[in-house]
Amino acid sequence: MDGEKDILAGCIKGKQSAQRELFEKYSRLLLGVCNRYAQSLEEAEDILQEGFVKIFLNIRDFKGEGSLVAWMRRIMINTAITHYHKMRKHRYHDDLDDVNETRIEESTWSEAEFTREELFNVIHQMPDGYRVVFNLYAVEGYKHREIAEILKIDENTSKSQYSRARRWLQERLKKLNRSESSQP
Amino acid sequence: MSEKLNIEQLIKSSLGEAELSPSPGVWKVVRRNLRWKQFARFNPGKLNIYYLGSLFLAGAGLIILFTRSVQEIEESSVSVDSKTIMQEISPNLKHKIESKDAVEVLDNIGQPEDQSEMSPLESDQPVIKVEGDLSPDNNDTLKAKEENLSANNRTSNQINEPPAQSTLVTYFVSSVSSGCIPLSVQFSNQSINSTQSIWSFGTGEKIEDENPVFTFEEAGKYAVTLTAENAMGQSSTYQQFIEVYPAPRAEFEIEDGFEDINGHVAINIVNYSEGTMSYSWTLLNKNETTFRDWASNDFQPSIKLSDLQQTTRKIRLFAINEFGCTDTFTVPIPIVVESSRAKIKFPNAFSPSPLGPVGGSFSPHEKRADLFHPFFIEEPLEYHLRIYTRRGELIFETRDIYQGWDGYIKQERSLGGVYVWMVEGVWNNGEEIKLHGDVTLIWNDIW
Repeated sequence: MDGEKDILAGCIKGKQSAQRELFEKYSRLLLGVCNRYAQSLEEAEDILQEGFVKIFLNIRDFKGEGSLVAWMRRIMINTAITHYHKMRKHRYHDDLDDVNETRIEESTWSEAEFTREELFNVIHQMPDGYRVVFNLYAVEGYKHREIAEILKIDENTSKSQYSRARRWLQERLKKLNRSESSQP
Repeated sequence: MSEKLNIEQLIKSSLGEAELSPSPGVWKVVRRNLRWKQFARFNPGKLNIYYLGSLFLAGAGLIILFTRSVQEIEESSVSVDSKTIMQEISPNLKHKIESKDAVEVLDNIGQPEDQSEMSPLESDQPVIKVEGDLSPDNNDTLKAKEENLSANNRTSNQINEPPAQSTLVTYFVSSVSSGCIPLSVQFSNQSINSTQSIWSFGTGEKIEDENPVFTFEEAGKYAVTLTAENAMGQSSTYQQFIEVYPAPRAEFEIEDGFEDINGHVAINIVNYSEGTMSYSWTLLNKNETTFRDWASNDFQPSIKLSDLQQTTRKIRLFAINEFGCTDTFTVPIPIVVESSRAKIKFPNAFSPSPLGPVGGSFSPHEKRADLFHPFFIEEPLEYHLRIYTRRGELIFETRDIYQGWDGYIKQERSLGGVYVWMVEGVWNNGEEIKLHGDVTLIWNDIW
């Protein structure tokens, strides 16, 4: 198989074989990224598809600073955010205050407790706003200031949304754990 | 027990690098949307909506111009626009006018040393004089003027030649004045009384040579200048333009695999050619001769599998641009249904039912692991399968393609191991089937 440089050069030329290779090589990883930002796997595939079109159209602009994967990841995340903004107009707003404010104690988990599918499922069910902020902060490692800029919201909104997202997730995971352990 | 993680760590470590397989349709959607977006986006190298739009506008413009010019000719008052009309009406004038343009280009580019070095002798360039005469004249008088002009040139040459022996005349002719890249031009020096000849080719290179051959590697209009010097150290120059046309670039790919449209299997082509005006596609046989029954001038033709003959090996694109320059590009056809081998396939192993003979018939499109039977995409006209033991004993034969061998002979299990099979027959197109191979019989008993 071609090296990444050859694939990149081919994609810049617009060669379909190179585009296909790039897709084959990274679509699985990038679908994983998209799936964290989506309500369903179908939505994730939509984002993936849109993102790849952007990647191929703009691959000339990839300056080779940092890795190609990181660049593609960023495009996917941006696409997901655009998607989120677009969808927000159509979707029912389950806004920030639907989680009770009672303090719940911080829980810890082990990776073995949940399957990947269970976790993806929980993420899919998360309110859209929570999901985006949580992903950007906890997984991608953006600062709240940056998230506020990206999502065009107040920095404090980002922070409060994040803490709510966290609480929401913890509650869900606890419920999931309980229902699992109650069924021997 | 693994270590305890907080919620961020849990999600990040479980899902941060998670991989999921996209469903098979996603790539197709990407391709489709990409193709459309590329078309809608301005890209100077490829056909897109902007080019189509400007082509349309240009076409409309030409029609308007043409109707106007016809009117004007009828009125026999030729205006400044006539220059354009002339180019279309009288092709023999065209090069004259072009050479005028050439001088203008030169002026614009501004090559001061060339100009300053021009001695009055080079008035043998017709061009400078044409300029003033162009606009007010109509077709016929212009032609007449042209003739006068060239006559003048001849006389001026003659006037230049005879005087004193030491008079320097700088002149050369070129084998061609235009062509496609790479363009090799032979220049022959016709200067009189010159002792030294320096050539520059408009590419920055200067060489001293009598009759050089120069190859232009890039498209453009080149001012080739000969500077000659006589024994007395006087020098003069002569300049001529060589026009080098760009070549198209033919390139295409065969889209991965075969695509099924309305049940027809087809080869799809993705055309990446650049700078091309027309396309000519042909199929090539094994010995590189063209296959006559199929040709296309489409941008991206689709080739049906039925268009392919057994001997078809390659697809060749012949690209031509507006200057008549050409390029070819040839791609081998990846999966060719070239022989009966690909239309019919036999497994190399099978494992019969241990519970007893099952008969051996199977239905179309069925793939049975407990029978030895072929997979095929087309039913042959004639078919004869024979199976032999390794010692050459015939143990099974059938003329029904939907009849496989179940591993039993006369209700008795055959021995596990290798058997040899042979197939003879004829396809619907008259092509012969002649295949043989071996197959391993495996008994998968539970006990």
